[in-house]
Amino acid sequence: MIAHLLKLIWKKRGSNSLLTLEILLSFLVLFGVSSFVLYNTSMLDAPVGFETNDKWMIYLDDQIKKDTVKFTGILKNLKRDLNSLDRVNSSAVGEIGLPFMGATWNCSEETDGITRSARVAIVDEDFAEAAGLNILEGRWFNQADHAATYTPMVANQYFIQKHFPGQNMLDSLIEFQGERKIVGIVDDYRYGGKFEQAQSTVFFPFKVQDGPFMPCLLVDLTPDTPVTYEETIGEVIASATGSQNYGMVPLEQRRKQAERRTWVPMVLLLSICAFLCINVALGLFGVLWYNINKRKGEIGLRRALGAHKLDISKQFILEILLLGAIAIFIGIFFAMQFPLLKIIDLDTMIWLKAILFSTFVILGIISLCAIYPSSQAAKIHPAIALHED
Amino acid sequence: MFKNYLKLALRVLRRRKVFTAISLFGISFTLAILMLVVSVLESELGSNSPLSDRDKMIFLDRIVQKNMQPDTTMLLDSSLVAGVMKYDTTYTIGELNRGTSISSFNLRFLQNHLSDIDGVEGYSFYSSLEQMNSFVEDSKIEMQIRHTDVQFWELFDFEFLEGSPYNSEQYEAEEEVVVINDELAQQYFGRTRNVIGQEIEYGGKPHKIIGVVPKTQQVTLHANVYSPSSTMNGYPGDRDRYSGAFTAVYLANSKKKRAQIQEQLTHTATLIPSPANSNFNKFMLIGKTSNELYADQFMYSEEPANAARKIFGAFAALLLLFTLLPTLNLVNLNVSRMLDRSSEIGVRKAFGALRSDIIGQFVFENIVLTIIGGVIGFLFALLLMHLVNQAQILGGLILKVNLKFFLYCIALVLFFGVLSGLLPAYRISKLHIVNALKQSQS
Amino acid sequence: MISIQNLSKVYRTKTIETTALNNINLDVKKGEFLSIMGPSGCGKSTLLNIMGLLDEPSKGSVEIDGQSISNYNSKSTARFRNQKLGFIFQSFHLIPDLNILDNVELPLLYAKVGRKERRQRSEQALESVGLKNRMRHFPSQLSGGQKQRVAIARAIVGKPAIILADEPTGNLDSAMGNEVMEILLRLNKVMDTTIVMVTHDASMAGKTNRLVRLYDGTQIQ
Repeated sequence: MIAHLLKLIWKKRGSNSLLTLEILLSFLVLFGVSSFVLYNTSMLDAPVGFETNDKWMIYLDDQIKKDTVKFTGILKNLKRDLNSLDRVNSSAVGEIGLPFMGATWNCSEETDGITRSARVAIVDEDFAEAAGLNILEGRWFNQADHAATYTPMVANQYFIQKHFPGQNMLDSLIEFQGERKIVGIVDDYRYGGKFEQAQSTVFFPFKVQDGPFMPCLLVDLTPDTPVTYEETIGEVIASATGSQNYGMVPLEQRRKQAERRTWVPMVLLLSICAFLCINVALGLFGVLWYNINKRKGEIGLRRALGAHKLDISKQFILEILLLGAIAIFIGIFFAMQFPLLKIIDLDTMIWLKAILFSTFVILGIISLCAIYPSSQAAKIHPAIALHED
Repeated sequence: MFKNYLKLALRVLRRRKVFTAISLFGISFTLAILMLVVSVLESELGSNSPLSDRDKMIFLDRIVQKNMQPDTTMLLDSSLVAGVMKYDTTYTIGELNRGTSISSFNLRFLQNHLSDIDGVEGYSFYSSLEQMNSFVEDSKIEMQIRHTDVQFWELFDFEFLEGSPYNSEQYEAEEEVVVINDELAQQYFGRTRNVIGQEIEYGGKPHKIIGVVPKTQQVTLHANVYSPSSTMNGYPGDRDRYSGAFTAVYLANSKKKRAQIQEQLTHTATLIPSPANSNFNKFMLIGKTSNELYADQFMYSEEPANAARKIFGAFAALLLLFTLLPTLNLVNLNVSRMLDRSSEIGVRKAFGALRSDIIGQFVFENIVLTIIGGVIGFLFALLLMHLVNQAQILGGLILKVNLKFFLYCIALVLFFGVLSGLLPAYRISKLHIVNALKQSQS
Repeated sequence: MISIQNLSKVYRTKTIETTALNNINLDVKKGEFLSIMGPSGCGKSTLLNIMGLLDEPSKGSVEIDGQSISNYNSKSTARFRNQKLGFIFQSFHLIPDLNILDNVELPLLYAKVGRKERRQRSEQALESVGLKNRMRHFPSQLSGGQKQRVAIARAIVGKPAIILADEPTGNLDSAMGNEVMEILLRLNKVMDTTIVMVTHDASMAGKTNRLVRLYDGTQIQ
């Protein structure tokens, strides 16, 4: 049966080639979109490593940083004043690597021929509490660290697993931007949000210094703090810094904005893809319907030769499925290049799932489009069909 | 002839309702999406106010400062020559990058080093946004302030809803005057007109409004308050710092002259001395065209032309793929639809129709179909644009319908019609008369 | 009017060579009504197609109206067909999406005749087949005989010198067939149009001036 159908397809390769190309293209589009969606959704389950509810980010006027000595005092007073507010649980200062801050600092260092790289977050001793970090081993920074012999650092689990797999690194000294002692290990810390890939991050203790970065604050508030509380905090900031110039954004809002950047293209791509699928489905339906009408003679002959009604519809569905299979086969060949050649470095499972998904959707669309026209074909009476030719 | 074809086309479409409906669905939806894309591109990349001269501008938004140190590499080569091992050592003296800083400019630096560029029609230095808050009757209003010079208003053709920009006397006198946008006027005063002479307060100081401009879509120029740079704290900035918040823009008198300005900037970079208290010793100034500046938002690169090519290339490829599929679908449908009429083609040819007549007829029919689809698509696009504007999916971008957009859409429709009609018409016109006539029809 | 010499037509596929026509010599005089008869597959339609420049001979020469058409390109053959030839087919081949008037107008359209004149001549042609009152109808609203009469109107509207009819009565019952035949005979007599008709109805063939019989691609009479 299959050989017989392949012969038929080959006979009409002229008109079938365009149809095959169309199915192939749909497959590739579907493959592309589904791998993008699968990649993003696969990250939704993993924790980001910090909390966003009832936390506000405060940006300060960078004019007040001019005098570093004075600025140290301002920050100290500001934190004290903020913490004295009844709705403030805790507050922390940091200058880079705070959640959704936008700016990133990547460090890469070669020691003894091994390259270690990580994103750096520079935050103070209250940050773990204010951000709700999950400390797996050891401890967070404390006041005493400033006087310690070795500069302390905290690393995330990913950093340890990537660069020191299977080793107990707590209290070890490593060479990373100077000699440092690992005092604690935290869970993953994806400060770009859920759609960011897990990666190495290290935390260095914050100290006011001259540099390009402007410190900002993360404030943890009691649940259900109203937005109007912003003014109260604003007054505290104004009196502590002497500047009206500050910004305040709920972390939850930043999270939504950041995630929207992935959700919007994902939803757009999905809806365009859905449209393309419907479009292709309708097109296939039209072409099949026409082809089957055109081949009434052949159908009649088959019926006259004793083919059952079911045989007829089966033949047509199989024929188009076979055509689809050929297109998908070529499509899989192209799609497999991604995991094989590692053109884009993603988990192989995602590529495979995307291929599987696309294959099923395309085959589903094809069979759905073929059912009605082929059932119409099966209804053709042998006598009428023969007369047509 | 035209009328005959039109009559026939409409009748054909009416008689084959299923085909027509399927084709129309595909055409209208595809065109609607394409129209939406065109409208986004037109508002983002079109030469509209205040960026009417965008094709003649070069933006200089970053200085790359590097600390380069000589680095010697020794290469040991061994080879077996006539049974004896020979060694060959080469020393390469290269440079090693010990640190890079990328930032926008300090205003004083721009004034000292980059205000004297040859062949420039005009230039302006303006800052990135500075955020300040103002509280009006218990609600917070965010001021996004951009500091500019006077030339800013000459280079960028903002249309003033009322008032005028600040002039050089006001600039020199460091007057606290501002131009605001209509959105802020609405938030602050509850109206968009008659606010000239009023004051807004931020940073603990009142500022007199002298002009109102409409909110601009251009990210690089957007602000709700524009104020003279001379009124900034610490104007014009530290003596020995190169980095700051400013961007420079240069206007060439023609599109061609832009490249010369870019070369000049590259050359100027080599003349910059090292700043005191810093070990940066190599500088790069990369002038960008407005398209490159746009692409830079998505992909930072030290070669902006390259990045722009990549971004726009990838975008074009995506768009092509998106158009290709519905086109192919339509081509397939059209081949079926036309084969259905092979008897007609036979008869026409028998009675003297040329191949070009047949192609013309079918392409024309397809264009009629596409135009109908185009009209539906256009309405659909309007709806989509409305939804996009409502939900603010594209950030602050507001899509508008204008004559240019409309003309683009018509071109799009015709292009799509010809594209999807030509291939099947060409194929069908090749049909041999005798074979065509064998397909019995009444 | 039509002069055919040593005409052969061979169809080739990869494996088989079929001879459809073998060394045909035929002369049709001006004003003659010739019928070609023979069993199915004898090549009579192929012969007619070659006379109508719808198909090309494999060998031999065809001269129509004193012009050798063997070296014509597709553009000139189309022009020639448009001006000199009219076609009538067994299954009518009216365009279902055009009304009767537009169907008849078709040859004039490709002859680039002006709209007014097109209209006037088409009405005339329809009148001569007695269907002027149906000119706004569509083919699907007509009977078989009426359809064939429309087809005749279409064939004569360009005032061709030669009309080629491929079994014009084949799909009609005898009454309608006779009606169509009457029109063709009248056309031949009154307008002095040369007609070549393929048929396998002996009674129809009997009404024509001359009869040629083909058998297996060879002229036998």
